[in-house]
Amino acid sequence: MDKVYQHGLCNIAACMATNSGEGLFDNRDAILGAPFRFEWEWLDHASMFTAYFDWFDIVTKYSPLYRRGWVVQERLISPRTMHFSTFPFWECSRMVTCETYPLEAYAQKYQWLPLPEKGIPISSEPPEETWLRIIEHYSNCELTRFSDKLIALSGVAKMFSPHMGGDYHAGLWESRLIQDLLWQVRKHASGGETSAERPLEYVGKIPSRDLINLEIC
Amino acid sequence: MGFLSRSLETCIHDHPSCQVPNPENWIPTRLLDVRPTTAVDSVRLIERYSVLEEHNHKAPPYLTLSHVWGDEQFFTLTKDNITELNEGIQLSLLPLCFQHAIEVTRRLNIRYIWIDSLW
Repeated sequence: MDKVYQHGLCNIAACMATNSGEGLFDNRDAILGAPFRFEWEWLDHASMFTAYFDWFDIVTKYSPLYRRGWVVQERLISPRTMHFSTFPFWECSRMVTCETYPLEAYAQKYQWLPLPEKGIPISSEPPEETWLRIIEHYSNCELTRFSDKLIALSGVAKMFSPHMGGDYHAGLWESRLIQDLLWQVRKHASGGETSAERPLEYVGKIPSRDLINLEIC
Repeated sequence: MGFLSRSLETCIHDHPSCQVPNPENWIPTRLLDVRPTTAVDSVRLIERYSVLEEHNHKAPPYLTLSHVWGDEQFFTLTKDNITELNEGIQLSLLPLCFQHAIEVTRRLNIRYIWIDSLW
Protein backbone atom coordinates (compact mmCIF):
# COMPACT_ATOMS: atom_id res chain seq x y z
CA MET A 1 0.00 0.00 0.00
CA ASP A 2 2.74 2.44 0.90
CA LYS A 3 4.54 1.67 -2.35
CA VAL A 4 1.48 2.76 -4.33
CA TYR A 5 1.49 6.19 -2.71
CA GLN A 6 5.24 6.53 -2.79
CA HIS A 7 5.43 6.06 -6.56
CA GLY A 8 2.35 8.05 -7.46
CA LEU A 9 2.99 11.33 -9.24
CA CYS A 10 0.63 13.15 -6.89
CA ASN A 11 -2.06 12.27 -4.38
CA ILE A 12 -5.55 13.75 -4.62
CA ALA A 13 -7.06 14.31 -1.18
CA ALA A 14 -10.84 14.66 -0.92
CA CYS A 15 -10.67 16.50 2.39
CA MET A 16 -14.27 17.51 2.93
CA ALA A 17 -16.22 14.48 1.67
CA THR A 18 -17.62 12.28 4.43
CA ASN A 19 -18.36 9.45 1.97
CA SER A 20 -17.67 8.74 -1.70
CA GLY A 21 -21.03 10.20 -2.69
CA GLU A 22 -19.67 13.66 -1.96
CA GLY A 23 -17.39 15.43 -4.38
CA LEU A 24 -14.07 17.23 -4.39
CA PHE A 25 -15.36 20.61 -5.40
CA ASP A 26 -16.91 22.74 -2.71
CA ASN A 27 -19.26 25.64 -3.29
CA ARG A 28 -17.02 28.04 -1.63
CA ASP A 29 -17.86 31.20 0.13
CA ALA A 30 -15.18 33.59 -1.07
CA ILE A 31 -15.42 35.66 2.10
CA LEU A 32 -14.44 32.66 4.20
CA GLY A 33 -10.90 32.30 3.02
CA ALA A 34 -10.12 35.87 2.18
CA PRO A 35 -7.42 37.59 4.16
CA PHE A 36 -8.74 40.35 6.38
CA ARG A 37 -7.09 43.51 7.43
CA PHE A 38 -7.33 45.06 10.85
CA GLU A 39 -5.79 47.91 12.69
CA TRP A 40 -3.94 47.27 15.92
CA GLU A 41 -2.00 49.36 18.39
CA TRP A 42 1.61 48.26 18.12
CA LEU A 43 4.25 49.91 20.26
CA ASP A 44 3.25 53.55 20.21
CA HIS A 45 1.33 53.75 16.96
CA ALA A 46 -1.45 51.99 15.16
CA SER A 47 -0.58 49.71 12.24
CA MET A 48 -2.58 47.77 9.71
CA PHE A 49 -2.13 44.01 9.79
CA THR A 50 -3.30 41.36 7.39
CA ALA A 51 -4.45 38.03 8.80
CA TYR A 52 -4.86 34.77 6.88
CA PHE A 53 -6.80 31.68 7.85
CA ASP A 54 -4.43 28.79 8.38
CA TRP A 55 -6.21 26.41 6.00
CA PHE A 56 -3.40 23.93 6.04
CA ASP A 57 -3.59 23.59 9.80
CA ILE A 58 -7.39 23.50 9.93
CA VAL A 59 -7.80 20.92 7.18
CA THR A 60 -4.94 18.60 8.12
CA LYS A 61 -6.19 18.41 11.70
CA TYR A 62 -9.96 18.71 11.57
CA SER A 63 -11.27 17.81 8.14
CA PRO A 64 -13.38 14.64 7.70
CA LEU A 65 -10.52 13.09 5.73
CA TYR A 66 -7.68 13.74 8.11
CA ARG A 67 -9.59 12.69 11.18
CA ARG A 68 -9.18 9.19 9.73
CA GLY A 69 -5.98 7.57 10.92
CA TRP A 70 -5.49 5.60 7.71
CA VAL A 71 -5.14 8.67 5.62
CA VAL A 72 -2.31 10.27 7.60
CA GLN A 73 0.06 7.71 6.17
CA GLU A 74 -1.13 8.35 2.63
CA ARG A 75 -0.34 12.01 2.98
CA LEU A 76 3.07 11.47 4.53
CA ILE A 77 4.22 8.93 2.00
CA SER A 78 2.97 10.63 -1.19
CA PRO A 79 5.61 12.95 -2.64
CA ARG A 80 2.95 15.54 -3.52
CA THR A 81 -0.67 16.11 -2.52
CA MET A 82 -3.44 18.30 -3.87
CA HIS A 83 -5.78 18.92 -0.97
CA PHE A 84 -9.29 19.61 -2.23
CA SER A 85 -11.10 21.59 0.41
CA THR A 86 -12.93 24.91 0.61
CA PHE A 87 -9.68 26.48 -0.52
CA PRO A 88 -7.50 23.95 -2.28
CA PHE A 89 -3.90 23.86 -1.23
CA TRP A 90 -0.78 22.18 -2.49
CA GLU A 91 1.73 20.18 -0.46
CA CYS A 92 5.07 18.72 -1.41
CA SER A 93 8.32 18.30 0.48
CA ARG A 94 9.45 21.76 -0.58
CA MET A 95 6.37 23.84 -0.01
CA VAL A 96 2.83 24.17 1.17
CA THR A 97 0.89 26.80 -0.68
CA CYS A 98 -2.71 27.91 -0.94
CA GLU A 99 -4.53 30.14 -3.39
CA THR A 100 -5.46 32.58 -0.67
CA TYR A 101 -1.89 32.93 0.59
CA PRO A 102 1.07 34.93 -0.52
CA LEU A 103 3.40 32.68 -2.46
CA GLU A 104 5.35 30.18 -0.41
CA ALA A 105 4.05 31.47 2.89
CA TYR A 106 4.64 28.02 4.30
CA ALA A 107 7.82 27.20 2.48
CA GLN A 108 9.56 24.33 4.23
CA LYS A 109 7.50 24.74 7.35
CA TYR A 110 6.18 21.20 7.34
CA GLN A 111 9.07 18.87 6.64
CA TRP A 112 7.48 15.59 7.56
CA LEU A 113 9.96 13.07 6.28
CA PRO A 114 13.50 14.34 5.82
CA LEU A 115 14.73 11.18 4.16
CA PRO A 116 17.60 11.23 1.65
CA GLU A 117 16.35 8.03 -0.04
CA LYS A 118 13.16 9.83 -0.89
CA GLY A 119 15.22 12.72 -2.15
CA ILE A 120 13.94 14.99 0.61
CA PRO A 121 16.66 17.19 2.01
CA ILE A 122 17.46 16.61 5.65
CA SER A 123 15.85 19.20 7.88
CA SER A 124 17.37 20.53 11.06
CA GLU A 125 14.85 18.54 13.11
CA PRO A 126 16.18 15.12 14.18
CA PRO A 127 14.10 12.18 12.83
CA GLU A 128 13.16 11.17 16.39
CA GLU A 129 11.36 14.46 16.88
CA THR A 130 9.62 14.21 13.53
CA TRP A 131 8.48 10.73 14.56
CA LEU A 132 7.01 12.06 17.81
CA ARG A 133 5.08 14.75 15.96
CA ILE A 134 3.65 12.10 13.67
CA ILE A 135 2.63 9.87 16.60
CA GLU A 136 0.92 12.80 18.27
CA HIS A 137 -1.00 13.36 15.07
CA TYR A 138 -2.10 9.72 14.94
CA SER A 139 -3.18 9.73 18.54
CA ASN A 140 -5.63 12.49 17.71
CA CYS A 141 -7.22 10.63 14.82
CA GLU A 142 -10.29 8.44 14.98
CA LEU A 143 -9.70 4.99 13.59
CA THR A 144 -12.85 2.96 13.11
CA ARG A 145 -11.12 -0.16 14.35
CA PHE A 146 -8.69 0.40 17.14
CA SER A 147 -6.62 -2.59 16.10
CA ASP A 148 -5.88 -0.76 12.85
CA LYS A 149 -3.80 1.94 14.51
CA LEU A 150 -0.51 0.09 14.28
CA ILE A 151 -1.22 -1.04 10.76
CA ALA A 152 -2.09 2.51 9.73
CA LEU A 153 1.30 3.59 11.00
CA SER A 154 3.31 0.71 9.56
CA GLY A 155 4.24 2.26 6.20
CA VAL A 156 5.62 5.36 7.86
CA ALA A 157 7.46 3.25 10.44
CA LYS A 158 9.12 1.35 7.61
CA MET A 159 10.42 4.57 6.09
CA PHE A 160 11.75 5.82 9.41
CA SER A 161 13.38 2.59 10.47
CA PRO A 162 16.84 3.15 8.92
CA HIS A 163 17.09 6.41 10.87
CA MET A 164 15.88 5.42 14.30
CA GLY A 165 18.55 2.92 15.35
CA GLY A 166 17.17 -0.36 16.65
CA ASP A 167 14.02 -2.37 16.10
CA TYR A 168 10.44 -1.18 16.00
CA HIS A 169 7.86 -2.86 18.23
CA ALA A 170 4.21 -1.85 18.41
CA GLY A 171 4.80 1.87 18.01
CA LEU A 172 8.00 1.99 20.05
CA TRP A 173 11.60 2.23 18.90
CA GLU A 174 14.18 0.20 20.76
CA SER A 175 16.60 3.13 20.80
CA ARG A 176 14.03 5.41 22.45
CA LEU A 177 12.17 3.06 24.74
CA ILE A 178 12.54 5.16 27.88
CA GLN A 179 11.67 8.51 26.31
CA ASP A 180 8.71 7.15 24.37
CA LEU A 181 7.17 5.53 27.43
CA LEU A 182 7.01 8.87 29.20
CA TRP A 183 3.85 10.66 28.09
CA GLN A 184 0.85 12.29 29.67
CA VAL A 185 -2.76 12.63 28.72
CA ARG A 186 -3.62 16.00 27.28
CA LYS A 187 -6.99 17.59 26.64
CA HIS A 188 -8.16 16.89 23.13
CA ALA A 189 -8.70 19.85 20.78
CA SER A 190 -12.48 19.33 20.92
CA GLY A 191 -12.41 19.80 24.70
CA GLY A 192 -12.80 16.17 25.70
CA GLU A 193 -10.14 14.39 27.65
CA THR A 194 -8.35 11.54 26.03
CA SER A 195 -9.20 8.24 27.61
CA ALA A 196 -6.40 5.96 28.64
CA GLU A 197 -8.48 2.81 28.26
CA ARG A 198 -6.91 -0.17 26.58
CA PRO A 199 -9.05 -2.33 24.33
CA LEU A 200 -9.09 -5.96 25.38
CA GLU A 201 -7.43 -7.09 22.17
CA TYR A 202 -4.28 -5.23 23.10
CA VAL A 203 -3.93 -6.44 26.69
CA GLY A 204 -0.89 -8.62 26.96
CA LYS A 205 0.46 -7.57 23.57
CA ILE A 206 1.25 -3.90 23.87
CA PRO A 207 2.89 -2.25 26.88
CA SER A 208 0.30 -0.26 28.78
CA ARG A 209 2.25 2.98 28.54
CA ASP A 210 2.38 2.87 24.74
CA LEU A 211 1.14 6.09 23.10
CA ILE A 212 -0.82 4.03 20.60
CA ASN A 213 -3.26 3.07 23.37
CA LEU A 214 -4.76 6.52 23.73
CA GLU A 215 -8.36 6.70 22.63
CA ILE A 216 -10.39 9.85 22.15
CA CYS A 217 -13.63 9.98 24.13
CA MET B 1 -7.69 23.87 -10.80
CA GLY B 2 -5.36 26.34 -12.47
CA PHE B 3 -3.54 26.99 -9.22
CA LEU B 4 -3.10 23.27 -8.47
CA SER B 5 -2.07 22.50 -12.01
CA ARG B 6 0.57 25.26 -11.92
CA SER B 7 1.83 24.01 -8.55
CA LEU B 8 2.28 20.53 -9.99
CA GLU B 9 4.19 21.91 -12.97
CA THR B 10 6.42 23.98 -10.70
CA CYS B 11 7.15 21.02 -8.49
CA ILE B 12 7.95 18.69 -11.37
CA HIS B 13 10.33 21.18 -12.97
CA ASP B 14 11.88 22.95 -10.02
CA HIS B 15 11.95 20.44 -7.16
CA PRO B 16 14.42 17.65 -7.85
CA SER B 17 14.08 16.59 -4.21
CA CYS B 18 10.39 15.76 -4.78
CA GLN B 19 11.17 13.21 -7.51
CA VAL B 20 11.00 9.65 -6.18
CA PRO B 21 13.31 7.38 -8.19
CA ASN B 22 11.65 4.33 -9.73
CA PRO B 23 14.48 2.38 -11.38
CA GLU B 24 12.43 -0.83 -11.45
CA ASN B 25 9.53 0.91 -13.22
CA TRP B 26 7.13 -0.27 -10.56
CA ILE B 27 3.42 0.46 -10.95
CA PRO B 28 0.40 -0.86 -9.00
CA THR B 29 -1.20 -4.17 -10.01
CA ARG B 30 -4.23 -2.35 -11.42
CA LEU B 31 -4.97 1.17 -12.55
CA LEU B 32 -7.90 3.04 -14.02
CA ASP B 33 -7.27 4.31 -17.52
CA VAL B 34 -9.19 7.61 -17.69
CA ARG B 35 -8.64 8.39 -21.37
CA PRO B 36 -12.02 9.58 -22.64
CA THR B 37 -13.79 7.13 -24.92
CA THR B 38 -15.87 8.07 -27.93
CA ALA B 39 -18.95 6.16 -26.79
CA VAL B 40 -20.67 6.60 -23.44
CA ASP B 41 -18.07 8.21 -21.18
CA SER B 42 -16.24 5.35 -19.51
CA VAL B 43 -13.01 4.53 -17.79
CA ARG B 44 -11.25 1.18 -18.02
CA LEU B 45 -9.68 -1.02 -15.42
CA ILE B 46 -6.29 -2.09 -16.71
CA GLU B 47 -3.74 -4.60 -15.43
CA ARG B 48 -0.10 -3.85 -14.81
CA TYR B 49 1.29 -5.96 -17.65
CA SER B 50 -0.99 -4.24 -20.18
CA VAL B 51 0.07 -0.80 -19.02
CA LEU B 52 3.76 -1.66 -19.19
CA GLU B 53 3.35 -3.26 -22.58
CA GLU B 54 1.75 -0.13 -23.96
CA HIS B 55 4.40 2.16 -22.49
CA ASN B 56 7.48 0.19 -23.51
CA HIS B 57 8.01 -1.14 -20.01
CA LYS B 58 8.52 2.34 -18.59
CA ALA B 59 6.24 3.22 -15.69
CA PRO B 60 3.81 5.96 -16.75
CA PRO B 61 2.75 8.54 -14.15
CA TYR B 62 -0.44 7.87 -12.17
CA LEU B 63 -2.39 9.74 -9.49
CA THR B 64 -3.70 8.30 -6.23
CA LEU B 65 -6.85 9.20 -4.31
CA SER B 66 -7.27 9.63 -0.54
CA HIS B 67 -10.90 9.64 0.47
CA VAL B 68 -13.31 8.61 3.20
CA TRP B 69 -14.94 5.34 2.24
CA GLY B 70 -18.18 5.87 4.14
CA ASP B 71 -20.86 3.23 4.50
CA GLU B 72 -22.24 3.33 0.98
CA GLN B 73 -21.89 0.22 -1.11
CA PHE B 74 -20.71 0.67 -4.63
CA PHE B 75 -19.43 -2.00 -6.89
CA THR B 76 -16.00 -3.45 -6.38
CA LEU B 77 -13.81 -5.68 -8.47
CA THR B 78 -14.60 -9.37 -8.23
CA LYS B 79 -13.73 -12.43 -10.30
CA ASP B 80 -17.13 -12.16 -11.96
CA ASN B 81 -17.04 -8.59 -13.13
CA ILE B 82 -13.38 -8.15 -14.03
CA THR B 83 -13.90 -8.62 -17.78
CA GLU B 84 -16.73 -6.14 -17.73
CA LEU B 85 -14.57 -3.61 -15.90
CA ASN B 86 -11.72 -4.12 -18.36
CA GLU B 87 -14.06 -3.15 -21.15
CA GLY B 88 -15.36 -0.05 -19.46
CA ILE B 89 -17.05 1.38 -16.40
CA GLN B 90 -19.58 4.06 -17.15
CA LEU B 91 -18.44 7.22 -15.42
CA SER B 92 -21.94 8.24 -14.33
CA LEU B 93 -22.28 4.99 -12.38
CA LEU B 94 -19.33 5.82 -10.18
CA PRO B 95 -19.66 7.75 -6.91
CA LEU B 96 -19.28 11.51 -7.22
CA CYS B 97 -15.92 11.56 -5.46
CA PHE B 98 -14.44 9.21 -8.04
CA GLN B 99 -16.02 11.12 -10.93
CA HIS B 100 -14.37 14.29 -9.73
CA ALA B 101 -11.02 12.59 -9.18
CA ILE B 102 -11.16 11.24 -12.72
CA GLU B 103 -11.99 14.71 -14.04
CA VAL B 104 -8.99 16.13 -12.20
CA THR B 105 -6.78 13.40 -13.65
CA ARG B 106 -7.94 14.23 -17.17
CA ARG B 107 -7.52 17.98 -16.69
CA LEU B 108 -3.93 17.39 -15.61
CA ASN B 109 -3.33 15.32 -18.75
CA ILE B 110 -2.52 12.24 -16.71
CA ARG B 111 -3.87 8.97 -18.00
CA TYR B 112 -4.01 6.78 -14.91
CA ILE B 113 -5.40 6.89 -11.39
CA TRP B 114 -5.38 4.36 -8.54
CA ILE B 115 -8.46 4.19 -6.32
CA ASP B 116 -8.17 1.66 -3.49
CA SER B 117 -11.83 1.01 -2.76
CA LEU B 118 -12.54 -0.11 -6.32
CA TRP B 119 -10.58 -3.34 -5.93
